[in-house]
Amino acid sequence: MRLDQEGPADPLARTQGFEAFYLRHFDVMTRFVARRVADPHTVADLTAEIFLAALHSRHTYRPGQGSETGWLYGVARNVLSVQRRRSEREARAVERVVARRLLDGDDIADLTDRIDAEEPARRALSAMADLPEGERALLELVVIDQLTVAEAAQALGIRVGTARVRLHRARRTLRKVPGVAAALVTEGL
Amino acid sequence: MTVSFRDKLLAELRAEAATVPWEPRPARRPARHLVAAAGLAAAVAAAVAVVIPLMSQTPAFAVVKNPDGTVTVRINEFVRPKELEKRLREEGVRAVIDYVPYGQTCREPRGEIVPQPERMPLRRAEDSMDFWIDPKDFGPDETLVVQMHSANDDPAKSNGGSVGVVRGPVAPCELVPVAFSGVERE
Repeated sequence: MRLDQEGPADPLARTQGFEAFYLRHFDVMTRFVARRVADPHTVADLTAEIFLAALHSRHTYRPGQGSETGWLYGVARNVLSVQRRRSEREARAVERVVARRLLDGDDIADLTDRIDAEEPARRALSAMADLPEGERALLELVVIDQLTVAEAAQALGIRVGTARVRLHRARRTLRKVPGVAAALVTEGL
Repeated sequence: MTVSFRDKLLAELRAEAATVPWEPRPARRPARHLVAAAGLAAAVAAAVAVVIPLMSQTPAFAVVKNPDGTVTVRINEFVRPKELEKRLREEGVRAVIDYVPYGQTCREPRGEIVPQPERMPLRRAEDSMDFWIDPKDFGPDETLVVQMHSANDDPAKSNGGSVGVVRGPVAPCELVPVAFSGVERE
């Protein structure tokens, strides 16, 4: 259940609210990262970074203007794209919470299970790699991450109408790509 | 019984949450959500989403110096960025502002990026649609660098952008196609 569906109350307005927000989205976010990164330590670090970024940019979330999920995926995508761009040296310089130090053997086994479970999603993502970025990003969020079109549009900062057009285009392109599973093209669109 | 990663991370986040201000937030007029995109975003990793005020009225922008020395900025239309730069300069803020066409970006790096500034250099005011800047956030040789992407030639809208701080000279914006970042791929 999402708080934002209950009315205009702001789930990120106070520290207890933030903790509840974290607990609501922890599983979904670790899986989001595990679909894109196959190393449990990196999954831990990135999950931590996503929630830190959410904490520090909480004022940009507007209750009643889209869902928590759409907003959080927008934050998460930015964290991952920043992570991908920066060099190892930079990464060490800016890290505040290095979450991998929190991991014990059970945690690593648990994250590894999640990573293994997301293997098909990682394969599907690489099949989409050649789509234009705007289309690929949407298809990822809708088909792989199972967001609604409205949530995906919110995460990407685009209008829902624009999102629908891009999805249509992506679906058409993928149909011409040999080896792309039909399910990927039609499911959720 | 062992404590799970989820709970250990919760403890870390709780500690971090204790260091941030939790003021009550007054109701605001709705504004469009736009997600900050490429480039200098690396310098401000913690401040992820930029909300752009969208107004139908002229003038293109307004800059007001506040009694505490901070500067409030409202952008109504993403036009004439160099005038905005000049106006900010008059209020003690050295800034380089570029409004770039959709699908393009300034070639980076444009200078020595100040990593992880202590505070977000361009902040959203808590109770209005304005941004505010504190000139004291910048060292004598530091420049606020803002790049906004226009949305399909509509000057009242923006597709987001990036904000950062550069130490020393800032290269002029050399437009290049956006090397879309996307996310980690295997």
